Formats: sequence, structure tokens, C-alpha cells
Amino acid sequence: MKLLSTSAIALAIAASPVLADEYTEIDQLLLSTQTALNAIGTVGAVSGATQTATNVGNIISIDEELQHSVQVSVSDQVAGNLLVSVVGGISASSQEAVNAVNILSVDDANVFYANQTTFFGSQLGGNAALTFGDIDRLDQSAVNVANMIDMQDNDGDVEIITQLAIATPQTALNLVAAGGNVSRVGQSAVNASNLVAMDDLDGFALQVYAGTQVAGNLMITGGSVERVTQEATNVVNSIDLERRVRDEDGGIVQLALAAQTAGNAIYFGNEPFAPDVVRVTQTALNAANVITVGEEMDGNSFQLAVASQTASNEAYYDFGFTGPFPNAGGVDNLTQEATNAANILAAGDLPNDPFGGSEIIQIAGVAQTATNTLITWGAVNNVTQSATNVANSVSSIVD
Amino acid sequence: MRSSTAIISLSLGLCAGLAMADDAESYDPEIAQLLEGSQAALNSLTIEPAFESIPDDVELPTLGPDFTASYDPGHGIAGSEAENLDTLPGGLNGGDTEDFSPASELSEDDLFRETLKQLFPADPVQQAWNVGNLVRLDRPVENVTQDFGAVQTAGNMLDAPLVILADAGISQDGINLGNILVAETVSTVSQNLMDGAGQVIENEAVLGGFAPYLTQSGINAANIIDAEVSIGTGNQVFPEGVSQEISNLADFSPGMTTFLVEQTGINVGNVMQSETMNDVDRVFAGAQIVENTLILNSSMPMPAMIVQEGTNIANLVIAESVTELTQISTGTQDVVNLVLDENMEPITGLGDTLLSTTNNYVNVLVITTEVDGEDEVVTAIQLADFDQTVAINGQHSQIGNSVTIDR
Repeated sequence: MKLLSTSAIALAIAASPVLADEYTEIDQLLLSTQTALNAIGTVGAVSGATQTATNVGNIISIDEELQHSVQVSVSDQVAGNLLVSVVGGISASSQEAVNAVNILSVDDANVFYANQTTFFGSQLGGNAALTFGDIDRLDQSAVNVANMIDMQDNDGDVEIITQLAIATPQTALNLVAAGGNVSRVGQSAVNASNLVAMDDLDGFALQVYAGTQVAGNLMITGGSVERVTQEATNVVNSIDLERRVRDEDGGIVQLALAAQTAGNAIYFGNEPFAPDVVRVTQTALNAANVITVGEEMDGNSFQLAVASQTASNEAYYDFGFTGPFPNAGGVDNLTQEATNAANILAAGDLPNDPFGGSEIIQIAGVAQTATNTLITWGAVNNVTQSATNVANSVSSIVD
Repeated sequence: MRSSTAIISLSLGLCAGLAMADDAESYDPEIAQLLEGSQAALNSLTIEPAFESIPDDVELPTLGPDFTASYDPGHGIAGSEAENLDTLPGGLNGGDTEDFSPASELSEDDLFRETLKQLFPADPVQQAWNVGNLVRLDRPVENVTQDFGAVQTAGNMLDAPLVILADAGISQDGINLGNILVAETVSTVSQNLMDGAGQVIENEAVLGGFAPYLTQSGINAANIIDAEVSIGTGNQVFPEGVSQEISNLADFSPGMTTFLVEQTGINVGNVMQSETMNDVDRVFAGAQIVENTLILNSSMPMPAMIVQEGTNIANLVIAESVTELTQISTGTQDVVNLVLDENMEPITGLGDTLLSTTNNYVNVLVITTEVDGEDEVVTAIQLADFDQTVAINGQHSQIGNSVTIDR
């Protein structure tokens, strides 16, 4: 699950007790509100600050046979970090806000039934860094995860998986506001519900999602913006199989009723006598119902998406903020990519044998909007805008 | 837990009914896709201070009889269209575009265009893509049904009336794909555009200053089947009321100079390509429209070359053998290429500077060379009740009910 390689979740998995009984049955029920907040405020400069706010509920990490596991969460999670330097500026700092609920990690064992359910719980993760000075070297990461099964490199069999996320809004936001220049800053906002990564599926997987996701990164500066990356990502219902689906009577069903908004925005000012936007990448992605099978898809699939997906990247020269210096609003090297995807199936191959027939059904009712916007004054160099929508795609994975 | 279990069993029941019906008779995948809604991919780049350089109350001139071009049956499908088709993901024709048109050597004009683009890589680049109902497999499939009812809009807007973009060309690309099947073999396939479906591409560039070149291109493709080996039973429906529209608009404010303006629009509806086809029925009753408009300021030097190409293709079959083919076309195809001055009057006397090409093809059956030398029976019924129009002088082809056998 490269998407979610956050250290906080890995730590939480590593720290949870290992259960070693054969034919283990585990039920977990979480009814709670978890809040993790950090704040640093100074008048002077902040350097080398690390803020980590993490909420994790319902974790199973096991390396023995798992007969049956049920994880149910009805809980709210709030994780936030605030970093304020009034005038001194911020440098070499990081902010990480993570909410995770219903995580199952299995190593080298069979799993007969795993259920993950989240109802009526919200996840809010956010970071803010504010100063009237400059910001140099800052990483912001806001991650919300609900229902994740990680069984990569597991040699055991996996029979039945069900993941349900109903009325569980996820919001991930990052804010940078600086009076001066901003350089070497990464902003990443990720929401993910119902994720499975494993080697093989021997039976049946069901993923049901109904809810909203908002992922956003906002940067407002009075000066220039240099070497900045903004990534806003929303994913619901993703199954990533390294090898195969190997039960012709089984397969995968994904149902998504989703409103997804992924957006990045930069309002930049002016650095006199130099371009104001230099080496900036904005990436906005919404994905609903994604199946990837590395080798053979020997089973059926049904994907239904009723989704509103909005992916947008915006960069504005705020010329009211600073005077019209020479080269005001110059842009050198800006890439904007906005992508929406619904009902995607990619497989190494589909079944060939006469008794392993498969059906693939994709139904989409979508409003997909992908937009990229740049409004500026000055010279524009190396600008690429790419807006893409994809709905209902079945394709071979080509090595 | 009781409620979640209920949901699971409900969903399992749903799957059993809808997706998981076990059918031992079918050994290849059966694929069904249904798409409704909208897809909009929009890029916008504004370099202030902008102003509206086309007043709202000015109407573009209507097309008079002078603009109606002559019928030119001798002109084949030009290489450039095939090249552009090949830019679709994975290559619509898997690189087999030679089958689509004879390879032609680069002309002097093409050389100029290519050299310019190599010398000045495009910047900014704007790409807007919409893809709905795509099956792309390098293997056989049993049964494919694709129903497309969405509206796809791809737009690129560049608004820079006063800015110098001296060191690079400008590129705007819009692509809409709906109901695309690429596979080795397909036994039964049905592709339907439904009421309310549509494909729209709008490229607009308002420019001042200097840029080496401007290219604007649009491709709409709907109901496309490319099966390497064979198509068993095939159905394609492009109904009345469904349209493919491409608008390329370049508006040069006073002071804008450039070497090359290239505007290309290609609409493709109902295409099948395979070695053999057995039973094929197609209906095209929709509309295909390409509008290329360039507005120049007459006080400035003309571009060295202006290329305006519009191509509409409806009901095209490319095969080595076809046994039963019925094609019915009752739609419309329009290509409008216009070069106007600041008063919205057509600029005449551009001579060799202007390369204006319009191609309208409907009900075209191309039989290519067969492999094993056996005689194949071709049975084809083609009906066309069709309006094809082109505007302004240039190279035109209007093809209706054409059968080409090249054995």
C-alpha cells in the first residue's frame, strides 16, 4: 500500500500486540472520540519542529491463522497540528496528522473471514503553518484512513473480505500562509476508505462506500513560491492484488456512492527581479472503485459508481498584494494535473479456461470535473496543464 | 453487527443476481459497461491584463454558396488523420494505421511544421482528456456491451492578449473517447450512444506578442472497435440528436505574430477494423461538426503557414473480409474552416499560405489485402441520406457509400 506509507500507521501496527492462537477469532468494537492536537506558537523563528498527531482505533496485526475478524467503528477522530511563527519564519519542520480506523495486517497465514465496518464516524486531519516571515523546508501530511487490509507477501489463502464505510466523511487539509517567500514545501492531503492490498483472493471481496471526501492544500504567500509540491488524493474502494483472483465463482463487488473533492490552490506574490513560481507541481486525484490484478483475474467483478468527482488545481498571482515589480508574476516550471477515475479494472489477464468464465460489469453515473487554472501577469515558461476524466475502463496490464 | 451482516447478505444476493451468474458455456470474459452523467476536463491559463477581444455582438459570417466546395472523390483518407488516430491511448489501431491509409512521404509543408515543432517544444502545453467506457485487452473477449449516455467536454483556454511567448510554441489538445473496444477477437459486440450523449471540444487561444507556432487539435471518437483477428456479430448505434463537435478558435490581438497556426479537428463515429467480420449492423444518424476559426489582425504580418484541417468519419469499416454488412447513415457532417480579419470578414488571397483541408466520409468500406488467398464473399448494404458541407476554398473530399477493394 504505497499510497499510505505513513510512519504513524506503521508504528501503530508494530506496537500492537501480536496474537498467536490458531483459529483466532477477533471482534473489535470502537465507540469513541479521539482527538490529537499539537500547537507551537512563537514570535521568533521556528526551526526543526516536528509535530505528529495520530489517532488509531481497531488494529489487528497477526501472523497466525485468522478464522474470523470483525472490526466495527462508530467513532470520530480529529488530528491537527498548528505551527505559528509571528515574524521569524519557519524552517526545517514537519507536520503530520493521521487518523486511522479498522486496520488489519496479516503475515503468512490463512484468513477465512474479515469484516471492517465504519458507521457514522468522521475523520478530520489538518495542518497549518503560519508566519509573516519566510518558510523554507516544511512537510505537511494529513492522512485519513478507514478500513484497510494489508496482506501483501502473505502466502496464506484469503476467502471472504467485506468492507463497509457508511456516512463517514473524511477531511484532510493543509494550510501554509507566509508573508514572505516559500521554498521547499510539500503538502500532502490523503483520504482513503476501503483499501485492500494482498497477493491472492481465493473467494469474495465486497466493498461498499457511501460518503464524502475532501482533500485540499492551500498556500498563500506574499512572496515567491519555489520547489513546492501539492498533492490532494481521495480514494474509495480499492483492491490491489499482486497475483490473482482464483475462484471462478467468487470475485469482487464494489459499490460507491461518493462525493469527492480534491483541490490544490496557490496564491502567490512577488519576488522582485525573479520568477515568482519556480518548480511547482500540483496533483489532484479522485478515484472510486479500482481493481488491479497483477496476474490473472479468474472471477467476476461488479463495479457501481454513483459519484461526483471534482479535481482542481489553481495558481493565482495575487497582484493586489504586492506592487508591479519587473517580471511580476513570472512562472517558470509549473505542472498541474487533475484526474478523476471511476470504475477501473486492470488485470494482467482474464481467464482462458472453459470453466472459469468471468463477467465484468461496470455501471457509472458520474459528474466528473477536472480543472487546472493559472492566472498571472508575467512571463510563463514550462507550464503543463493536464486534465483527465476516466469512467468505466477495462484494460490489460502490459509488462 | 446484525445490520452489517444484513447488508453483506443483501449485497451478496445482488451480486448473484447481477454479476455472478455462473455460465459454464462462456469461456471468455463478458463485459458490460454503462455510463451516464458528465465528464468535463478544462484547462485555463490567463496572463493578465486580459480583455475581450471578440465583442459579443459580432456574428461570424454565415456560409453562402461560394463556400460550398466541389466533390473530390479521388482523395483518399489523408495520412495525418491516421497519425492522429494513432495518438489515442495505446494506438487505436495498434500501430496498424498503414492499413488505414497509404504511407506518404513528408511534404515540404509537413517538414516545415515538424521542424518548427522540434526547434521549439511546446510551452505551455494544455491537454484535456475524457474517457468513458473503454475496454482495451490484448486477448479475445466473448461478449461486450457498451452503453454511453454521458456528455464529455474537453476545453483548453489560453488568454494572453499582450504577452510575448517567444521561445516556445503553444499546444492545446482535447480528446474525448466514448465506447472504445480494442481486443484480439470479439464474438459479439454492441456499442450504443444513448439519448443525451455528446462530445464537445473547445480550444481557444487569445494571443498577442510572438510565438513560433500555435497548434490546436481535437479528437472525438465514439463507437470504435479494433479487433486484430475477427469480429463476429457487431452492432453500433449513433442516434439522432447525438453530436460530436470540435471548435478550434485562435484570436490574435494586434501585435501577434507567428510562423505557423495549425488547427485540426477529427470526429470519428462508428468504426470497425478487423481481419474478418461476419454480421455487422450500423446506424449513424448523428451530427459531426468541426469548426476551425482563425482571427488575424490585418495590420500584422501573416503567418508563414496556416493549416486548417477538419475530418468527419461516420460508418467506416476496414477489413479483409466482410460477409454481412448493413450501414445506414442519415446524419450530418460539417467542416468550417475560416480565416477572418479583425472585422470578422474572411481574408482572401492567402494563396499557398493557407492549407485548408476538409474530409467528410460516410459509409466507407475498405477491403484490404487478404492473407491466405481465399476468395471471400462481401455482402454490403449501404444507405446514405446525408448532408455533407465544407466551407472555404481548399482541398476537400466528400465520400459517401464508398467501397474500396484492394486485393
